[in-house]
Amino acid sequence: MNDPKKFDEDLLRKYISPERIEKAPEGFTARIMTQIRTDTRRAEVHGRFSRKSLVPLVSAVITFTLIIATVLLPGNGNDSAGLKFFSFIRNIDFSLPPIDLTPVLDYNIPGWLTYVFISILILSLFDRLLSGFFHREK
Amino acid sequence: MDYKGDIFYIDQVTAGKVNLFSFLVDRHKDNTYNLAFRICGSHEEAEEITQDAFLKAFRSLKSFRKKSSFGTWLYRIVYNTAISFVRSRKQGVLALEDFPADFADFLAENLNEEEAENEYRNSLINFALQKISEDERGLITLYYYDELSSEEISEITGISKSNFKVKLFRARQHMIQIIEKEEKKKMIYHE
Repeated sequence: MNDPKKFDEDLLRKYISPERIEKAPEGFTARIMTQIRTDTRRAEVHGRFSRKSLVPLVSAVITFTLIIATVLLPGNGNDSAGLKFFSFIRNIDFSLPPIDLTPVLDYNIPGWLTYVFISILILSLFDRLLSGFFHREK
Repeated sequence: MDYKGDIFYIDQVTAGKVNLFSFLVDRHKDNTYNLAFRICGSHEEAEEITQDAFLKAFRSLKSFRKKSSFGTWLYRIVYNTAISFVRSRKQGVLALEDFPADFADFLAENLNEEEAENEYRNSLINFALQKISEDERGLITLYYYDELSSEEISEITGISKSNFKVKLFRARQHMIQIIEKEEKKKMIYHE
């Protein structure tokens, strides 16, 4: 009784005609293709972004590894290279030259503020440089 | 332009010629849309489901093993997408509670005899389809509209061949009960 072959003559055959299917609306293929092209472009951009983000990541890993290596690996003497480096930094004795801005400005600003401004300027230039490097593909 | 077969276009698309996917869409859009429509019962949702299924097919085209036909593989995606869609929807489609007993008369007034009869039968089938479960709707569509074999339907739906026969039998019985009930109402109306 459950044999589908026996359904051939059943009542539903009288009502269902396979030719009478609901067809996809006008412009269906075009809409799908637009979606697919968008999807493909998005995937390409994502791929490019992944490749780009790989550069700073690798750079960070290398820097971190070098720092660790510097601290842990022994130098020529008994101390590790890292410890020698830190003691060298500690022994550096220098002071920043004072910058006198009074000929330009009417009032005195603290010396450290001048250096902050210069640092910001240098960092901005450095940022522009990196940005130019990483966005070359565009 | 002659259609060169599904496999030819699949190979071209996977090789990077994305635009050739449109040949596959054109070839299969009507049958897949019909399956989605019969399961969900709404044109807007059917379009959404079919688009979603074609996108899924495009994204996983490289994983298509060519063991089964592309049509069967695509049908499986459409079937699963449509079933999930219907199950996840909060409210059912606003289906008619009762089939209008005077609908055949209305059609007879506006169409010729053959057209009216075809339209009546099609509307009654759509009405009955919306009264059964989404799984049953899928089976009825694949078996009666697409005239697929039990092996193919089993592959698409993921149910065993023996289970398919039982489920199809039940679905058919449900449909016939609904149709007979509406036909009786029509007869009473005309008496």
